[in-house]
Amino acid sequence: MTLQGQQIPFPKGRRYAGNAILLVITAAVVLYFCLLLVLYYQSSEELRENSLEQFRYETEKRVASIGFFFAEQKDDLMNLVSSREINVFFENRALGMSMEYGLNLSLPPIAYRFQELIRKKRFVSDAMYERLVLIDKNGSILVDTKPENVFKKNWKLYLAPQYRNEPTILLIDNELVVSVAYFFKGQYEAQLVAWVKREVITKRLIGETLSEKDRIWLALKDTHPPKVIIPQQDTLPAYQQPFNANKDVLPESGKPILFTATTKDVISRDWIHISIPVTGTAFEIIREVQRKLVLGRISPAWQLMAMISVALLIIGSAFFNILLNIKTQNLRRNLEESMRREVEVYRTLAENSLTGVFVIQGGLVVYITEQAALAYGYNVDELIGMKPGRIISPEDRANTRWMAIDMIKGNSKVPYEYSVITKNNNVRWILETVSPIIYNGRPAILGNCIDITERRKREILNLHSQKLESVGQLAAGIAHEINTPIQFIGDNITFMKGAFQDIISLSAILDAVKKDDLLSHEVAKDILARIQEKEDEIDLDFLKKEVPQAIDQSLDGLKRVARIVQAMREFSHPGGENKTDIDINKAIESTITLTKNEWKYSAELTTALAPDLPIVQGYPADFNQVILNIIINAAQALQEKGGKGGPEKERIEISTRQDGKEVEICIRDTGPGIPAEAQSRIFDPFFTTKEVGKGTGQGLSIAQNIIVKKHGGKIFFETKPGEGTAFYIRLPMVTETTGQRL
Amino acid sequence: MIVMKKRIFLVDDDASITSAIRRNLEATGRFDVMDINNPELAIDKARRFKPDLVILDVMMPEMDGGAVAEAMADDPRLADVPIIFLTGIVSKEEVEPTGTLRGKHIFFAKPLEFEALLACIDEQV
Repeated sequence: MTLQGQQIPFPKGRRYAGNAILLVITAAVVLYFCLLLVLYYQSSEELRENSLEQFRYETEKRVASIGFFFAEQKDDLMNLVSSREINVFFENRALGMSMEYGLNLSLPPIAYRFQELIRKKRFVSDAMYERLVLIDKNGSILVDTKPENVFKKNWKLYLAPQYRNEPTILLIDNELVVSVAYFFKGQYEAQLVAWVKREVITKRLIGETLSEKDRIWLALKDTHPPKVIIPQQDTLPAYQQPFNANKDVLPESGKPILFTATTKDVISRDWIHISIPVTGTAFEIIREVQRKLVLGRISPAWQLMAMISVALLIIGSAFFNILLNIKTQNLRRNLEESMRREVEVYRTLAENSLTGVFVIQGGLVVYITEQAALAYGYNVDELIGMKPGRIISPEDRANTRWMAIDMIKGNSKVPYEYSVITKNNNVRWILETVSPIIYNGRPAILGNCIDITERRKREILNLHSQKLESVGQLAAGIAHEINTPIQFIGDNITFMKGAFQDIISLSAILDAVKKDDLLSHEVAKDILARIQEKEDEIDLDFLKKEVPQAIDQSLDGLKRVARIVQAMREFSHPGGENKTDIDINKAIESTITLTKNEWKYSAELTTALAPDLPIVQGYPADFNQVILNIIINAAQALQEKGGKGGPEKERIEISTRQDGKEVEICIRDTGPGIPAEAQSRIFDPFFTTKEVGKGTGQGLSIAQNIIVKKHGGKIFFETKPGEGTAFYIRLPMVTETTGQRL
Repeated sequence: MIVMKKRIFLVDDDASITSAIRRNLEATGRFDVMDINNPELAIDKARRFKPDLVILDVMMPEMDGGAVAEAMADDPRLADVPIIFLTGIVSKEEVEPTGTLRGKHIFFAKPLEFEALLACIDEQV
């Protein structure tokens, strides 16, 4: 038979195959992830390039817009210098007309045209031109739309030869002007200069979309650092101090460059710088934008690194997981292997142990070792499926059941004993423990049992020999107790024999009187005198007083002997293997009688026995032995203490009472108490504190064996050095009608 | 002729013993007997009774016979009074039917026959 319920399946190879699959899947995922990363990186780089190109393109559009704006202004002035009004003036002047003689009159139409241009040319709502001036080649001002404004510098500057070839937009006196030369019949005659409104250019240049993070400037070409025209008084971040490594590198026109600048808010920011010349002018447009607006916050390289880190982390985790898995599997395999071995060991232990093992489930035996079956005197197969109670001796069934329940509930840990009837109708004794377990997934009871029949027989012999030892120990005392009444009975009979002879002698005189039918007065007097004499001789008064007392004492002495003999008979009651009713009080009184000679010289023994004590089932002879052993111990302890009679006599008190479902017997003495070092050992076999010859150390060991194992009771003590000891015995009660334990 | 009765002092914790011996001794008409059952009073009573012989039980709860004998030995008025011990401790086989002299005292094992005791008493007094 095997403990099938505990067998554990051996691990299969598929778990290792699972690891390989996990490895392949992880590798595939990692490869796929790497591919995605490369693609993502490439596309991110393309996107950045595209964003940069978009930025350049958008900037170029703005530059073109400004270029167009300037070209329009040039066209305006070209149209103006080609106007009829200006031609008329110079034709008249060529004809020799002087200013005083009508040439003056040619100027107002020109001024009108100028005013008209200023009025008409607008950008949104603002006038584009602030002032128009026509300067004669000699430097005299012919027409000026704001004559009240005096030129800050020599206006001859505007007549420089380099401005005569084509319309020019230039910066003079920090003012933006458009300058166009006028030729009459191939001869340079005058210069037309228009002041352009800065606001208009600013609006046109910056538009509405730009911000602090995206700024644009109009600057003079080929200046370093760039001379900024619009907005005025402004400096580019790229040229602010402190500057980065790029500050000495002149940006290549039209190509965006990246640089780092510390702006006024002292926060380092990466910028993108681009400068594009405005065609046909001496200007360039510069745009600087924070890099993150164009290229994003995180570079693809960083993104790539982050993603590679994540990938490495995932790969690492996967490998760690696999390693862990392998380790766990190894551990589990080892654990399962060791558990399998352990189960094997336990099975071998159970099958080969001297202790029998069995399992009861649903009230039936479901598993039992051969050893256990042997103890019960059956085969394994015969016991499987059997109700365990069937083989227990009928008189032990109820008690065994209660003791088993107590142990399963954890109320008791003391193995209990009971007898079973074997298949061959023999009686065997079993020592058993039980505990609750889960067997095959359901609650069950695990039992361990030992066949103690041989031990029990030895115990009986042991008990018997101890009983003999006790009887031997008591013999002298009992002999003394019997000798005393025999002594006085004998003395009394001796006395009564003498007394009877005296009575006979008196009776002889009376017999003589009976023979003489005719007694004379003298004879009668003589007889009376002889009777009187005889009465005096035999002291008849003395006899009348003493003989009845002698008879009474003798009868009392006989009763004493009879009582002792009865007590001896009760004490040595052979009992039997089965429990019978015990009258606890009567048993105690018998034992007291037998032991009288042991304690009467050292102590006064009193009893307080409950009159209505219930009957207890057990082994009377064994129980008497327990009481005897404890009384002898108490008497000897009191002798050691030097107990003597008198008013200060030591005491032994024996009391009985019912306490709940138990009967309690208490034997208390006023002896020296049990020394602390001996307290834990007093129930050990062969442990004694008595001097050699006074005890073998088996008394309390046997008492415990009898009370606990044979009666399912308890024995314990309380002791106080110098004050005494009290032994308590508690025995479970039985009901008189059913014999069931309460 | 007036014969002076011998004075016998009996000590045993068991009154049945002392009264049985007493009535046998008194029945002879030759003895004055005082019996007491509390050995602690023995010395005091004996001093007043002035016995010619003392019969003592050995094992008594209050005070054993040996202790009473010692106390008598210490008293000049009682020191020379012969003592017969009655004991249940030793067996009959251990002592002679007529008592055994152990030291200066005679021991009888209980139970003893009155005639043996009487013979012993006669011998001593």
